[in-house]
Amino acid sequence: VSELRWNPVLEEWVITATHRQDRTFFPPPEYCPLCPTKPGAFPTEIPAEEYDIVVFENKFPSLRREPPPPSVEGTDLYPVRPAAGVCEVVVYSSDHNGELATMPLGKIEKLVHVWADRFQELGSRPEVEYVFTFENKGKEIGVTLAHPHGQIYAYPYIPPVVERELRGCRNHYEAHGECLLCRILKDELADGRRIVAQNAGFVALVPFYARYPYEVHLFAREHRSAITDLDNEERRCLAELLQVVITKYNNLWNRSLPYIMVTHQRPTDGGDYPHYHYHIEFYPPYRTPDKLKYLAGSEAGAGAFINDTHAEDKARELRDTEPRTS
Amino acid sequence: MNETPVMHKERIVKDDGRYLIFYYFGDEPAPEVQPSTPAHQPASPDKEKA
Repeated sequence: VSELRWNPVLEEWVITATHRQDRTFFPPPEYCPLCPTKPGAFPTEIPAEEYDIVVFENKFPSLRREPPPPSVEGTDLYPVRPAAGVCEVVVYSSDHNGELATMPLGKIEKLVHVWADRFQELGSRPEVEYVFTFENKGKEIGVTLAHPHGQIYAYPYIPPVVERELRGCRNHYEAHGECLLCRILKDELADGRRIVAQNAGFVALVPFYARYPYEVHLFAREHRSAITDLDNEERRCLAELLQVVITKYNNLWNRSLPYIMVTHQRPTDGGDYPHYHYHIEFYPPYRTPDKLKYLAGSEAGAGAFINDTHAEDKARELRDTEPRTS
Repeated sequence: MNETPVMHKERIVKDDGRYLIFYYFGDEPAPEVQPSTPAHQPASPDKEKA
């Protein structure tokens, strides 16, 4: 059962999806549902081995193309809506043991093209107002399947964090006549202390306002609002910088570093968003090799992040970690 | 600017109605997928935003 329940206090939707309690939880590798189906073996999600990327609808979706009616009736205080939308799984490879950082650059470039295709297709659906591409990596993040994969949620509303970013960017645009992230990027490049890596199309930096010690954002150098605005060279540059950043993460402590990777881009609700700037954000959960950054009282209850580190120090640390770029 | 990579999509529908899309890149056409069960059917296109 899934539905959208309105929180009138925070003025945001909560997705209830009780069927997800039963989803597959760390099966042994021989029963991985994201590996290709082998002859005579149990049927997995993917009935072929030869492919570049596979996308399919999540078996345990939070949002559905044809959602069931809500399980409860809404009221004027508590509006309820069907959980309409799409939840997709993006499988990067038929190799169970791979990860983005170890894949050839060409493979990551193909993934970027698939992200663009999904944005185009899902964003054209009438009920979809926001296409959100993300990857949860590592059991510390709550990943339940080890096979390398990401996800895409096509929401029937603009999610709260994005809405808040959009408001901040719109306010700056109206006050100063410029894109806020273009301005941030210009100032960061001039300053240099928080830059992690860069190439012709993208810049990776630890934001001045980082909430996690090793938080990194990838900004398109040119003003772009969505992944479909990137030309082929920019997509190649994005793939290259993704590989650089994730490899740096893995080289930091010589182990595969967990992270949440999210894409922020313009909504697909038909609105005009000249003030918004395409970017990718990484949130690794570790603050030292053996200490996690927990979202505890202040963060979870007050929304007030406390970062135990300075962005300038963490950026230098990541910049000095191989591979280095100019 | 690089040339646009040629992207091929092979779309099928699973037994429970969910779609699955194989993405292939290159000059060769997409290989025909041999489904693991006969219940996989070609998908019908979804409705589009007006």
